[in-house]
Amino acid sequence: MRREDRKSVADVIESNTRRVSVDELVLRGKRHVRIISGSKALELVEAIVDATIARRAGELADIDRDRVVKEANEQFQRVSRIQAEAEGLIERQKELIAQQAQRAAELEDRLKRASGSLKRRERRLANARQTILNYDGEIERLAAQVRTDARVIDDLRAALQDRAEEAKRLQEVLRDRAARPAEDGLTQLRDEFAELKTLLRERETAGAADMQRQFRASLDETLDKVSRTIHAATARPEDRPIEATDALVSRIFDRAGEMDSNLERLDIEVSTTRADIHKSLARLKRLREEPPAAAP
Amino acid sequence: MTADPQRIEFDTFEDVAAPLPRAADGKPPRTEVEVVPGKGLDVGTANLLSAVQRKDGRVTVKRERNMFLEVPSTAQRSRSMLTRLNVPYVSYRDRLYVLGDSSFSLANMFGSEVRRPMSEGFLSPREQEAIPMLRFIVERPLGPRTVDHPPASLPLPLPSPAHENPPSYHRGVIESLLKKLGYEPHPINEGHAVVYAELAEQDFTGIGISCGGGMFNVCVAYRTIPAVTFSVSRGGDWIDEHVAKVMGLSRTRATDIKEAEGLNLTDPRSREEEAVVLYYRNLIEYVLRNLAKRFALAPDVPSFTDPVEIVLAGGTSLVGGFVEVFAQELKKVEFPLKVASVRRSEDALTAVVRGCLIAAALDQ
Repeated sequence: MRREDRKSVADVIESNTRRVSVDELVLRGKRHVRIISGSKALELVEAIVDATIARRAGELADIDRDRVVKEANEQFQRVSRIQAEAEGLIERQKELIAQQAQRAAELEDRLKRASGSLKRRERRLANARQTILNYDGEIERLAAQVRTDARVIDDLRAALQDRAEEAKRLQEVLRDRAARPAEDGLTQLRDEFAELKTLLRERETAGAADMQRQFRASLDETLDKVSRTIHAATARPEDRPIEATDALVSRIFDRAGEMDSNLERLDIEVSTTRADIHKSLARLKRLREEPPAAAP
Repeated sequence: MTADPQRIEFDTFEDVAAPLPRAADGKPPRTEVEVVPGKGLDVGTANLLSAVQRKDGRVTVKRERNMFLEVPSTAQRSRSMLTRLNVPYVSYRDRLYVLGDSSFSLANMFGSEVRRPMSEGFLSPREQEAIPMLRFIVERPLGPRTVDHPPASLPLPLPSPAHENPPSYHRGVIESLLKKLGYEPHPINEGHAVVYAELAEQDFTGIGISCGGGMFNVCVAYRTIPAVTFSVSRGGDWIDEHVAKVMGLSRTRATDIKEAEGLNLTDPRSREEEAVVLYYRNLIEYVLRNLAKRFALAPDVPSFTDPVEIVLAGGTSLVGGFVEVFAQELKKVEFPLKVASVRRSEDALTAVVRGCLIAAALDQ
């Protein structure tokens, strides 16, 4: 075998293989490896060429054989070079793909974060919308309350003005009376008393009971209206309109004469529940005695 | 006892009192049982319950439906007959009204509608005779005051965000009514009453939900302290209203179907029951959605280290399959707390009134 041929085969093997230490092979679990020498590789090339030539026996002279071996060797080196380049290209593409995959993972992570942030913002937006809606309702309610309050204040102001005018008129009457002689005043009182007696007689004839009922109904209605107005003017969710409701409920109880029932004469079914309250009660009492615990 | 363990009817109670023999004056002889001072009262939209603790430790409960029915004035002549039939009535302003369970039975029989002093947890603004009738309906289970039990803890319904009726008026009327009857009212939140009655094992930490006729009241408590309390103004009545509408029935009839023995939300047997199931599921989903929303909005929700228990109580939770459907719907909601389990009170109808009784006993 020629020296240059052996060298070229060694170069090809060098460029197309990678060096692996024995330790690494052991780590991979390899216990046996197959090895091939450069001369053996060249022998294989030559054998392939010989085999090809043998198929065409007699067609080529020895000179031709050497030339074919040389050309085949060159061809082998060329193919090996192309192979090495191709493998280099594959390695670079693999690196590129790995970079792209890493980039895609980063983008996906950013997308996830952005999606989470979007959801949080949507929730906050929905909450804010709900808050606005609640405020809208509250504002409307307060506006209605203010309108009612204003109406009540106007009514009260008008009533106050009426009272002031009435008081003024009464003062004038009293002043007039004081100025008149006592006998005149007595006569006037007698006349007024006579008028009242006549009026009462007329009312009696018209049906005193009817009038009394009407008067009571009218009074009830007015009282109801007043209590409702007071409630509307003063009620707030945090208020405790106990006094107003006390009056309202008292009126129901005051009408006991208008009501009749048989509840006193009837019994209501009494049941005994299986669930007892001892455990809860004992535990609550114990918890009350314990020092307060911090909230979680 | 009924076959369905989910459904607790009144006939499952022990020691149900038999009708008492009557004395010559027509009044039943009163058997005085020694009781511990303090009474609990649950003024619900659908039912009124009162509870006392006997000296022997047992808790006795009286219940009446919170409704009435006007009967024709010709029945005025039949008052003695009504008394003989044990039907409570009230005559007011020349009109005759039958109260409570009897009004429900009569209305159901004649296909008419009962009248309700309360709606959506509060005094009904649409009912003219709400206060006078409520006075009698409250008086019936509560009974006359004795010197031994002046306090009567009553649950206080909380306003839901959408509610227009101010709760202070309702609360004021009920408190005035009780004061007039000789009691000293101490309000307590309905959900909190459930926590008192049902979460002793958990040191009163967890979520109590009172599923009532007019509203659902929720209380999240940490060691007895209510951290978040709120309500939604939908309940059993909402189901009745919609079932009646879609099936062309009276509301009283729809209530009767909803409360029928054997109804199970996981296995409806008729068209009417299917409608009931549909609206029950819708109601539970609505309540849970609001619950989650409320948690999202509330700034003061405690973050519990351990998963919490949810206890359901109230008449609307009595239907078979309620807990299962509740748990199914809970899984669909993004709930901010870890839930260890969902269960119904052993005696769901009386849980609130028992909680009130506990509160009354604590005040002693």
